[in-house]
Amino acid sequence: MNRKITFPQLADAMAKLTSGNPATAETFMKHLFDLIADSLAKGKSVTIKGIGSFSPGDSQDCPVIWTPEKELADAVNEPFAFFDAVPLGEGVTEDTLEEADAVIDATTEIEQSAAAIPVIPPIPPAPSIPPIPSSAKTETAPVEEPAAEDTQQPTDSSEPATTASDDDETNDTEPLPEVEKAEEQPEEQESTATAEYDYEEEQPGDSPRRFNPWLAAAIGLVAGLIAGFFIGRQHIVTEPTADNGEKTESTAPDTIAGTLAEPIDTDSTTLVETEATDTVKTYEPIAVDTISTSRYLTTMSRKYYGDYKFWVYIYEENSDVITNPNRIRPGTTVTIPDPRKYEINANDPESLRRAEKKIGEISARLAK
Amino acid sequence: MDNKAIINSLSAAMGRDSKDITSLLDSLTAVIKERLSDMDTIAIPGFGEFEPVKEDERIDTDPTTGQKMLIPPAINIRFNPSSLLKRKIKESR
Repeated sequence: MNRKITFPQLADAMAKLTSGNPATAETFMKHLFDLIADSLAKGKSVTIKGIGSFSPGDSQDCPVIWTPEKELADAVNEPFAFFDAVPLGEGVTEDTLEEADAVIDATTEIEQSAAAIPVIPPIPPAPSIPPIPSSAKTETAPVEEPAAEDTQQPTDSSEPATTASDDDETNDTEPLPEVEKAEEQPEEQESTATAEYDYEEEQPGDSPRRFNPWLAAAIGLVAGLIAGFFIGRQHIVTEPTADNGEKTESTAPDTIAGTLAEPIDTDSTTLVETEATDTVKTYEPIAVDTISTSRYLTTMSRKYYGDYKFWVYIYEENSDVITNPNRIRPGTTVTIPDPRKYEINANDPESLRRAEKKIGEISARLAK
Repeated sequence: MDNKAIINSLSAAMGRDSKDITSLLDSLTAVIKERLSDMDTIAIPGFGEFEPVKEDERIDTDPTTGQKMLIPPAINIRFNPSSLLKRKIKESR
């Protein structure tokens, strides 16, 4: 590796390969390269099979142009042979490639913070889980008579359970004739049938957030029904009263909170409100940095967002402390906004264009 | 001058069969290929050096389409003519 092969070494290697004399190999090479040099001096190009072509160059700096034969070039380039030239998007520059490592670090930081933030939104709906089943119950039976509702509810709720059990039964009975044909099929069919059943159960919940309370309620009711069947019918009568107590408790705050007659709407609006506040919360600044003689807005932008152009957003965010972005003072503390607030993405040409436009606007404003 | 003409003139100069010259040339190319693949530089006195050079990946623009391309890393062989060969060519002009 990385040795310099001298003429005698080359002749020895040749002699070993041909099991001949190193001296003949040496004279052969001398003759060969003299011949090439002579014809080059005459201004003629030479092509040697297995090595390539030597042709006289056009300038003083490059008197000989050597083009290696493809076979030789490929053999030498074998470690990188599996690479191909890749077309790039407009937004990619040498800078982005050079700072790829730094960007990766920054994005992982952002991802970590992003991963930490979205964990919060699922928590607020958690307390609102009890109201949703209640509202769902009222959805099936409008608020008319609590007693009637109670009697209706078990039947309503038992419907999915019974249909589910019916489905199971039909699924069990259907494969039976096919058992004769193929023994392995019913198992698969059962699994697919259960999968379908699960999917059907999922559908009533529009979003995954709503789905969980629905499933919980369904499971609870099914469990209650099974327990009721085992213990006795009298127990079923007592169970809904407990449900009723919960329901009245949960519906009461709803009616207080929302003057609207439909509790579902109030629930959804409150949910939306909480979501909105959550999204506002996610745009908290990701870091606080201090300007120094070696740290400017552009270097910060490059560090946190991957491209210097996004300094405009840092400036925008700190316009109360920085009046002129061209005259920043060392020691000034600036907050770095969340990249999502301004849709900052170093890999998105559209985002870069927006930043450039903003730079133009700011420079135009300062020129006045 | 092509391969056949080279072999003929070499066999005349060395007083050997063209078959021998072909086998010698084959062994030479085999050795050169093997050495260059091992990232070794081959120095031929009075002629020049064959040097494998690793080039890093870079961004280049395709002149025909204008498309920016990421050129992968590669090992290219560079030929540096010796000063003797340079002078020989210069003097003949």
